[in-house]
Amino acid sequence: MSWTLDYPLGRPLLPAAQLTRRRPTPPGLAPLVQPGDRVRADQVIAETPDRAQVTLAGISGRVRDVIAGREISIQGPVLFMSGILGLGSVAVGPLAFLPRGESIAMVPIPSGAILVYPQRIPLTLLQRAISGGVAGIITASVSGLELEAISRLDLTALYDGLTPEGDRFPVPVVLTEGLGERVMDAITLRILTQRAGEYAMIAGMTDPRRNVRPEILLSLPPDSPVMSLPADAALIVGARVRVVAGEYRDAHGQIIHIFPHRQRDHLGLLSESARVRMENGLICVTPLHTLERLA
Amino acid sequence: MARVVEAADSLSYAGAARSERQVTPRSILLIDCGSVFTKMALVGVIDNQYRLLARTETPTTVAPPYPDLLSGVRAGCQRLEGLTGRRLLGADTILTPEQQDGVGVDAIALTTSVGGPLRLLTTGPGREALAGLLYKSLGGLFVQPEALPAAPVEVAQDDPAWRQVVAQLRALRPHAVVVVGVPSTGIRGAGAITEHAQSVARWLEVLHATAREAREDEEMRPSALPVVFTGTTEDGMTLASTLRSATTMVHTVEQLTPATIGPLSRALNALYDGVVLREAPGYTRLRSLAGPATATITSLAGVARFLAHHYKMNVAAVDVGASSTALAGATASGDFLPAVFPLGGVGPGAGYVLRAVGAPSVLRWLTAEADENTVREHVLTRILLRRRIPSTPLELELEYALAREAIRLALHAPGSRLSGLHPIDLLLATGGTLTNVPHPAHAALVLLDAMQPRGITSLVLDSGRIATMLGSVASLAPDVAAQMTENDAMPSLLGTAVSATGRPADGQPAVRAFLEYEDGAKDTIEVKAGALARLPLTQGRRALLSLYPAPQVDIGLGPGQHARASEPIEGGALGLLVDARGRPLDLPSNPTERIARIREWWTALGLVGAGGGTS
Repeated sequence: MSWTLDYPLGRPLLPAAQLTRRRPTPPGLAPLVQPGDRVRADQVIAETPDRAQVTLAGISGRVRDVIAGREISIQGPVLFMSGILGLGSVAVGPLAFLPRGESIAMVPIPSGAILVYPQRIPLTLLQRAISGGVAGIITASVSGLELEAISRLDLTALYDGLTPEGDRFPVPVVLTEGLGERVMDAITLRILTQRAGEYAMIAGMTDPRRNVRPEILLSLPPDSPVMSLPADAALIVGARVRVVAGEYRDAHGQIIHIFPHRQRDHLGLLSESARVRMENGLICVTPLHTLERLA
Repeated sequence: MARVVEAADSLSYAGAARSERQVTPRSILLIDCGSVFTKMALVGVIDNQYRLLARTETPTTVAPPYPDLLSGVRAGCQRLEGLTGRRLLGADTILTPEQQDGVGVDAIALTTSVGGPLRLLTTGPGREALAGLLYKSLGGLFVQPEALPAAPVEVAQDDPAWRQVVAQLRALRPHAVVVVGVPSTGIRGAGAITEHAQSVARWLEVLHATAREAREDEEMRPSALPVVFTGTTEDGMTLASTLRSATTMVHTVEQLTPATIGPLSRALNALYDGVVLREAPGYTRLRSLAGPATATITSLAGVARFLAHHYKMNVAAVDVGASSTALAGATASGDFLPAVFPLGGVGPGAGYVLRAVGAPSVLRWLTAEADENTVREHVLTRILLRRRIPSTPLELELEYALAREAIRLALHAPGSRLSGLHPIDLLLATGGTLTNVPHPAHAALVLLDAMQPRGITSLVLDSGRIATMLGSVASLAPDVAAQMTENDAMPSLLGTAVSATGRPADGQPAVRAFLEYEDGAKDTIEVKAGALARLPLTQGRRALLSLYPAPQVDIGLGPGQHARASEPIEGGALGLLVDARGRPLDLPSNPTERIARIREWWTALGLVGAGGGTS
């Protein structure tokens, strides 16, 4: 398994963190690296004798541990982004966008790549991407029923831990914004656009009971300065935040005051709240549960 | 309502066995570790009365990167310190007892629903015959009983049907097996216990083997699955002998009879603490500070029993939580009627509600056009983003629709007798969903729609949001619990509801209600069948109520029988509510008609235009 719970709760984006991920090397794949070796994200670290099956490093860094027939652990500095929900296991590949202006029914599918689709992905494209051989999919959102239809899963049962089939979805999918009609957050999209063509590792595993979230890892240069973990996710005065729900959804800003007592929100519910200065200068009061701390 | 000046021994809190460390504390820290939020309250003495000094809410911390219940409790203490100026935390502890300078607290009371219910597989020769006693014994405990099917003597391991049965059983992630024996007089043949023991042994082996195959399943603990047996000593020995190779933990308690439902109940309560709670990270340390936790439902049951005893009336308390829904009924005569839907709530537990009732049952309560996808996406979002609360009018409506269905599921859960309690004289709503509402009519409508009381009912909101914590206080200091229940858990009367059964044709008069205020003023309203109406009677005012139902309509005294209260009713946030919609409540099947009807009910209670509508 490639996920480790060493990311903080409440921060969807870490610009630089030192993380360890385990890459599976099932029996039959011979390790090509040793502990201490430096590896690149796109480097083959294990393969079958006929090279028909290979394991890529996924992240650049140093090999920590090699257990033949099981896994290779790699530690390295990465830019980390967590999604809201996902399906499938782990994929490594170059980030690819679809050319603009082409019909989703006809557009060529970038086989072997991680497809980035910054809006709600239509069912047709989801089906075409999977059958077209993409390594993974990063998208802003999807219809819940369509995702259930294509995965043939009751997602409520899956995320309640009642069915274990989530990682058997053929292609890892990471939804950065969740279900419904959502477009990708501007910062997330900018980062992914800037890194188009570079290798990324994504993991679709999602277990809300254990705080396991889908993730996107983008490698950084070996000696990049990294932040200590777990990163402080506290919503405090001065923190930069993104609003993820409610009337100011998708706005970015800075907390300028935390109220000692609960405030009534626009619906009339009492919530722990903060006064936030938005990037457009607007000052508003918003519940803490709608805020995510940004780096 | 009269003030509580009850002697301590008049309290009858369920499951709150008198503790040897019973004291008269000057201050108590109440901690309720819920599945999503940890609620904390500081209680102290003001004017010789125990009062709520401050309360706070912080995220519950049981998952990485903060897998320690104490982290959330510590954060809550810090907030209480900030609100009250009173120091509560020491270097690595909560300061007790209260010191001369007011630092610390004398006592800590802990309630929790963390870790979910104790999941039980029930079997045994007496399971069906003694089902009523079994459910009585489980009443007030946070348990989820499921029947354990008989294991076939021989079966092909690759038989798809068999594999499916095994998978379903494993998905339940059981904590223990309860084997119900038969009395020594015998309900079935003498060989029955041997047969069931062999079946249990086979199941334990199967679960053990399948768990070995799926090593990643950390929640499966077949080798340690304890077995609790209630029955004769002789049968207990037979069972223990048969299960010797399958489990080392067979605990035998007294045979279930009407007079001995306690031993099994106590054994399972101990198992809940030992198996469920101790797995919660940080619980052991929290327990060492606060003492053993009381399950939230157990605590709520204590409050309901106290109120029923004190006011000599039928009481039902409703707590819709994020991950579980608990109802507790108690009658004036001392009968206790718990009802729990242990895995279903409006937050992370919303998936269990949706799967149990289906999207149409949720959609039927909305005043907005929505489809199944909307419901599923909402529920999935609540499962995935556990701390999120509604942030749009539609999400709010979905929340209350799920709350209605969760209450109904609890009300009709196996073993529940609460649905038959009529009249409910006092209906207490607690928990974040029902107490944190934009308008009191939201809470009133959820209670009326889901509980469907009959006759005259006082609707009360636990605006201090501490009712679920008070049962645990009873074991420490019953008089504190009594005063707190009166002073802070029930200060907010929503209103008095008159619910009519029997229904003339829609549009025909069903009930006429008269209010005669203390200042001599009078008010009247005629409520048509199918309608909901309201007469204002504000907080602090009182009025005599008279009711004149149509001949086929019953307001609690029989069809057509009119009623005149001998004592005035109290005013509340909503005043007098007259519910002439009939019982059971029947919603129009046509969506347009249904939405129009619900909007009429909303308008009658002052919701549309008051921030409650989605129009």
